[in-house]
Amino acid sequence: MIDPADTPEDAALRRLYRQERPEPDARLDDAILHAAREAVAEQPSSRVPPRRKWRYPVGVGAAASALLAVLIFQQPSETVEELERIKASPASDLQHLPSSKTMNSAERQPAAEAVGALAPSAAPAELARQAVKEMDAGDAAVAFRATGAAPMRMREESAADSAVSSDSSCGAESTTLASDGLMLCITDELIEAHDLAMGCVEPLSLSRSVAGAVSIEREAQSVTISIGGDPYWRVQCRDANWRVDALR
Amino acid sequence: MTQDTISARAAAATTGSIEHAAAAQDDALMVAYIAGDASSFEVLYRRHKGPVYRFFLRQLAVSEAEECHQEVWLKVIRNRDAFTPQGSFSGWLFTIAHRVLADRHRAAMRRTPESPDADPDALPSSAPDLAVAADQTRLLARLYRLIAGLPIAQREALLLREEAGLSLSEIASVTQTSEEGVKSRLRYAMQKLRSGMNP
Repeated sequence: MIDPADTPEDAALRRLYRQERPEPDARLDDAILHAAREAVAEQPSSRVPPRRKWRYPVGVGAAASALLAVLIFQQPSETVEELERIKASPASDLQHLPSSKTMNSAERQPAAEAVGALAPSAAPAELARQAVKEMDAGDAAVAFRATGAAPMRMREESAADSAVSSDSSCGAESTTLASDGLMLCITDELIEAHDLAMGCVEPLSLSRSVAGAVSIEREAQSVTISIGGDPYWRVQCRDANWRVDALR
Repeated sequence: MTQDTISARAAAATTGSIEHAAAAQDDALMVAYIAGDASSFEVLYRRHKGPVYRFFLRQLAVSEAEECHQEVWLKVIRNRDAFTPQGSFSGWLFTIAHRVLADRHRAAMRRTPESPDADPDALPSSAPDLAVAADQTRLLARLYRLIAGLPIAQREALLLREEAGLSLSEIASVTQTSEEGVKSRLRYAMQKLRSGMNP
């Protein structure tokens, strides 16, 4: 190597030093190269140095733990509890669903699928069939509509809504009509009945196709809802369930 | 500034960039060998075997130099996974060589308590077969004898510079001393060689 600080005398010394460049003996070369070949042939070294080899198993373990944690936290506890309850009394529970009576035909199939999906694995098809049967039993002439697509979800949402509605009016876009615990939230398309006093936590949704003033007339056990003076439905909250008779 | 010094600096700048590229190539070869490519090791070995061998040969007897040379390369093979490509394969290689030499010196000191630095004639001659008639060869034999007579630290610094081609910082790293210490050792070594060659 040439050093910039060298004197010409130093450079001459270096030139002299480099005149002779002895090399190791060939047998020494062979022995070393043989050892080098053997080393990689015996134990094919991985491309990753050993101090980094821990990264793969640790990475896999961390990923698996994260996946497990996500699965555990994403499991909805409410759904599990609901399924347990349905397993205990599936038939009576389905009867409690007002939406099963108030769904139109287009909504019945996904609702039935939803019931089947949420029901216990022992009898999902049976529950779904029962739900559809309940729907068919309703009066097709009456345009009852559920407020949600799937019975389970609708029940939850309705319960929350009714709790709010019990303490307040129906909202800015609705007209509120109340009589002896029964409250109607009326829009141009829908009449939603609430009766928390009698235990109907889910509101009853009635779709209206006729314009006109809505009125209610309380009878001994039921309430008649009229539009433009014409009676359309007789509703009754009994044993925490809505009963609806279509009058037209 | 003399013309020689200017030329030397220009040559040093060119040599520096070439050495940098060669060092990167060495690293790549070593990484390939770690990955299982034995032919890469062969290229590396052919490139560095001379400097390693002469590093020992200028300080030890031939048989000892051969043993140390083999020991260094076997350590490279065995500890290949410990290599990290940082652009200085030579530095890593001669760190191993330095340790092998230090072990050899320690063993020699246990056998003979006297310091080998005390008397150059007591040192194992690194040029025992250079007693030939030609003047040039006599000069060379004299130079080698002077090198062999240098104190161990100065001699090692000189050989790491001349044979391994290491920079001052690399020599400092290999010998675990400061750059100023390395400069000082090299300066004293060259002074002794100059005065020994021009009595």
